[in-house]
Amino acid sequence: MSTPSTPGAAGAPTGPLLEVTDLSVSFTAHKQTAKVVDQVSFAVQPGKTLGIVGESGSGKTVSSLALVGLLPRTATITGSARFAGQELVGMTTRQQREIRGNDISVIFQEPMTSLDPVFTVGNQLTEAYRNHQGGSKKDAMARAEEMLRLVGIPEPRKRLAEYPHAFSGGMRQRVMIALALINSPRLLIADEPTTALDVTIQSQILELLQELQQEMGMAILFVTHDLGVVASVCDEVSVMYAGQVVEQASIDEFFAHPRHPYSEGLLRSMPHSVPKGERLRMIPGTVPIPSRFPTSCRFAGRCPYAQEACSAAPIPLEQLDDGRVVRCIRHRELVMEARP
Amino acid sequence: MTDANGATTPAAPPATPADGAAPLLRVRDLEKVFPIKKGLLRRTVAHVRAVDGVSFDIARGEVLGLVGESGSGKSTTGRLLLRLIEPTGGSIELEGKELRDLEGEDLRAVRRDMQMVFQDPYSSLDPLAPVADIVGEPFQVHFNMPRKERDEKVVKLLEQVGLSAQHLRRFPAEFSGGQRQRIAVARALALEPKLIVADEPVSALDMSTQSQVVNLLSDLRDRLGVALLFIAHDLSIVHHASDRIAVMYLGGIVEVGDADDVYSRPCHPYSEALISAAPVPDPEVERTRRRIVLEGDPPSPLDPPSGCRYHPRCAYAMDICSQVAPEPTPTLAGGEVACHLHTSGPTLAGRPLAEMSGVTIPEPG
Ligand SMILES: Nc1ncnc2c1ncn2[C@@H]1O[C@H](COP(=O)(O)OP(=O)(O)OP(=O)(O)O)[C@@H](O)[C@H]1O
Ligand SMILES: Nc1ncnc2c1ncn2[C@@H]1O[C@H](COP(=O)(O)OP(=O)(O)OP(=O)(O)O)[C@@H](O)[C@H]1O
Ligand code: SF4
Ligand code: SF4
Ligand SMILES: [Mg+2]
Ligand SMILES: [Mg+2]
Repeated sequence: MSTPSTPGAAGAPTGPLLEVTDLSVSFTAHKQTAKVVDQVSFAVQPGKTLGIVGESGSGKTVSSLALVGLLPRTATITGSARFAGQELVGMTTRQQREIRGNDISVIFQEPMTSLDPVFTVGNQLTEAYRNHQGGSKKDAMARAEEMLRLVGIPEPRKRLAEYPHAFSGGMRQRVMIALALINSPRLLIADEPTTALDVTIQSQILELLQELQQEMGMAILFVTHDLGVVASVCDEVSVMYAGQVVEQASIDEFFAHPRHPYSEGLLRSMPHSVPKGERLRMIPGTVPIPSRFPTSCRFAGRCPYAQEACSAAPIPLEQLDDGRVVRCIRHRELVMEARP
Repeated sequence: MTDANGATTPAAPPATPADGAAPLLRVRDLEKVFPIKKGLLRRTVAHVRAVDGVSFDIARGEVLGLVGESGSGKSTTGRLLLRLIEPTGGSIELEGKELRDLEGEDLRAVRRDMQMVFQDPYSSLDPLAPVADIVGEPFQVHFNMPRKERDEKVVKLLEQVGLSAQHLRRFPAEFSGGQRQRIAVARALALEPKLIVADEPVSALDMSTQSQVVNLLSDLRDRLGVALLFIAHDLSIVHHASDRIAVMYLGGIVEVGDADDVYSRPCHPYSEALISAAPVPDPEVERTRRRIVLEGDPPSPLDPPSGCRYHPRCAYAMDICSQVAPEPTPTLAGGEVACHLHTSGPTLAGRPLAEMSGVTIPEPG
């Protein structure tokens, strides 16, 4: 479902709401430095949804956390991330806190560790609201109840008084979503927001996100493994492998004709493409660990199309005429299909 | 089972021994009621019937997929099987032995035969232990194996799940969600259990890694005959990985049957809603179809609806549905369904719901 392009909040300049350029993140541990995110670039347009997919461990979560200052101190961040003209990299903790949960909201991958077990759900929702909007406790409580209802929690008033442990995994995730949306953000960073949910609730949440997007022009950075979700809510998709972006394309182009061998392997791994009873297709081998990333093509060790040249020098991220972006020296000669 | 080329495929579980009429696992009327406590005095103010009369069998080497509403009691069912929490009713038999009465050494022995992989790879791994200790712990606890031998075994397990010796001395914080889940799977495999309860073992993984884990689990089933209770939300994966599928709604199983039948020809209205709501990886299909959004609020387990618990949201509800709880009845395909459509009114009598609803399950083009 594609959304009409709605302008961002009043006064926002045209152009991307979020523009990430050459974002890199390194972690230092045991005197060893590992660059787990390496010169990642992407842009999110106001009112649009950019999906980020990729190998587990490819740096999707670290990239998103870097944008909002939620990485531990052991992380070094370089590059730029401009949000509505404001530079996010290098912001003070205070500025970050100001912007987070207000203009930019984040839904995390792990619901249990991001809800505080010692406060009731109602407490956490009203705090989040009053921290940014002020107002009376009563108003905040009403807003909290409304949000819980919106995300499909039954008997929201009763549930407000309960602690996170009394909720199922899926319900905790819905609480997280309510928490993220309570201040009507301009950019929502959603890291696997529906992975813990059954598909009927997922469908409700996706609908809700798209409604809010249309009403408020909210942009979404949607990290997910579910290619069905990508097909259903994203406008564009960016594919990450081993800390790098290897491809960016509109979803139609991506699903019809991936241009990077990793994307092809990913699409072919979908259970839909194999009759039941047969082994699922997968990409053989494993991703190298960050401290041992090769300087040349990082996918070479697993790529069915690899040639000598692939392991000779770094592979640049190429911008193609049709607006697509690919990191593969053979992309011009290779013809790839999502379905074998 | 034969595929399009007429070749036989290994989808059917390894034969249960001829004398093995008894399933590996037999669960009857399983029940778990949680008290809801409030206030300073922690008084019980209500009860949640998280699992309410659940019965099923798992054969040796069989994969039973368990799907359903968030909060319907899937994880609770899994935890009850391993007695990580105590049932408030019903029985659980492993190889004919009632687990509810076991204690001490007997319970420990049974736990060796049943392992769990949890939904949340973030809180289920000890953050202070290196991978070698996390995965090797069962060898130490049960066999007191020396470190060198243990590490060798751990490396083999890591390789089976797509990790390697490089990862041995690393800590959970250094891994992504998906990598942590591979570690959890490796640990569960350590003692070659008879049954693995896998609670969303692949939800956190990318598609290719999901395939690796699913293939790995089917290999294990083929090689070792390990049975699996596979709890997951991604129906295409569950369909692919399972021999049979059970669908839960609000504490009870509403339909169970052969995986192909439940996935492609569901008999219960909730199964139909669940399966047809799954997004398919094809933008064209997604744009042209109406997203299925279930009407009405999800039910509260604190105060479940009368009669059929699905009736407030069911598009086919009849008068009887709010009054009488439907009993499980056989489907023509050999499964079971609990829905009045099959027994009263213009009866379906075990035929797929599509014969009445005309709803088809979308497929990528
Ligand atoms: N605090 C940390 N210290 C050191 N390394 C880390 C830290 N957090 C993440 N990493 C490493 O950074 C890399 C990227 O991790 P990240 O969580 O971003 O992956 P991801 O793409 O989100 O994966 P998944 O799909 O499994 O969630 C991984 O190799 C991980 O081990
Ligand atoms: N310790 C507990 N105390 C009180 N209620 C609980 C507890 N654990 C679970 N519940 C309740 O039991 C019900 C079933 O929860 P369970 O975690 O088994 O659901 P689930 O089917 O696994 O859901 P999900 O798909 O979201 O993981 C829920 O209503 C939940 O709130
Ligand atoms: S550069 Fe070479 S190895 Fe890398 S993805 Fe392209 S073909 Fe494969
Ligand atoms: S018993 Fe009635 S309400 Fe329940 S699923 Fe069947 S038709 Fe719907
Ligand atoms: Mg992640
Ligand atoms: Mg669960």
